[in-house]
Amino acid sequence: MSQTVVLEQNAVETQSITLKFDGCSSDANPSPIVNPENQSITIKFDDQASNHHTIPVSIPNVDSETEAAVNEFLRKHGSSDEESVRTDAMNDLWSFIERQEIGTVVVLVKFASDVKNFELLEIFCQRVADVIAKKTVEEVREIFNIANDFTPEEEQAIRDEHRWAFED
Amino acid sequence: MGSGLSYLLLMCNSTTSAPAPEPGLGDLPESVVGSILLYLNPQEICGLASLNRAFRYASLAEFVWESKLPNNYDLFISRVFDDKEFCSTLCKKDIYARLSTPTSIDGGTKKVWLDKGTGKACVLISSNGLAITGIDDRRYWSWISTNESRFCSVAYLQQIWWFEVDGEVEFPFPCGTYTLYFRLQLGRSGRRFGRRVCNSDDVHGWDIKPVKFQLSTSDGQKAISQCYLTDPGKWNLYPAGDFVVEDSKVPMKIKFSMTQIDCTHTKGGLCVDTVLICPK
Repeated sequence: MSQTVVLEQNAVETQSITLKFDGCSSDANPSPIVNPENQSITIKFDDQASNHHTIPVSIPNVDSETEAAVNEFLRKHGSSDEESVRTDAMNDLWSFIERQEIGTVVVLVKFASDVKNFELLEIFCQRVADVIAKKTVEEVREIFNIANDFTPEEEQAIRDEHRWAFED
Repeated sequence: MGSGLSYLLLMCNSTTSAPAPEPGLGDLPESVVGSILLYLNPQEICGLASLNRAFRYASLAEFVWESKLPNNYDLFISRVFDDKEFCSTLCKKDIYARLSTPTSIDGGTKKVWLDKGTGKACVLISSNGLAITGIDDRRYWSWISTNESRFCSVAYLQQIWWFEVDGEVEFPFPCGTYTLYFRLQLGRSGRRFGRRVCNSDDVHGWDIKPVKFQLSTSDGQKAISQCYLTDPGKWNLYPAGDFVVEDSKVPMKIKFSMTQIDCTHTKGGLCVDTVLICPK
């Protein structure tokens, strides 16, 4: 996995920079790209730590098979910049997720949001959206055991407010 | 088992600190629900707004509706509305709702709106907004008031040798593929004793030679096709061709025509209602 940092104006005074992120540190890869127009320097450096040793994550409230599938995705996705490798990793995780109980996928949505992993969030949110897309409110409430926290009047008012979406 | 119930059981049964209960769909905070709504279409989002409070508030989120509006919706607004008319302090959801409601432009000769499902533009051009050869000659053409048209009247052809209908429109279409249709009916419909009737006495000549449709765009796309008009008594959408919009920052100009100019035979008994451009 490579990271890109843009330093502007007089931010860089010396030739070597030590950057820290995620608890790891690495010396800057000396291949800066200077843009004279805005006096910025772009440095691409490799995060050595995550290239070869992705730390497995622990996901609460899911079984070990699911946790392993997510970690396999993180490993594969993080191991290469190549589009085809990343797409394969996403397709594999997607196939796995399609076979899981939807309650598990909801747990994974929350997890992906908490750790701010947007590739995972995309996959899990798409799956939940696919399941709820064509269903009525009553059907979704039944599948996910969701309590209705509206009064009947509030619910009707919301439906009236959205009438425009269903008019021809 | 719902998360509420499992939490209650944990409280009763455990004497040590219990792990957090498994979050269900109903427990997700509105920011997370918003991430899910990104993958639903506007009608689905509106349908689920009454699910619970988190879904209700998430369905109002700016980032959700920003993703549904076309990239060039600012151009759409300036083409369709006078500055004073359109309130730019509307939230994105209300902007989407407003733009997906048909609005008249160009002196009432056209209606435009965003297709609710896709966020792409639809343009409907009245027969009043088309250049119809011989339209002012009452031997050939007349106007009929009808509630079967969204513009309340259609052009009716009794008979003519040279049949030609041309039109053009310039509009900031969002990126995508669009189809242009002519809405036509063989025969003249009306109501008698409360029932819809269609008079096909004037219908003739359409089975001898096909009509020709042509379409061209300001960026050089062209489409030509022909077909026979059939099916008297029914309104049909006849596709004239497709075009693709790749750059939504530049309004696309489309010229189109429908002709049957073989002067060895007359043709007639045709109602011309509108030209419709909508996402494919």
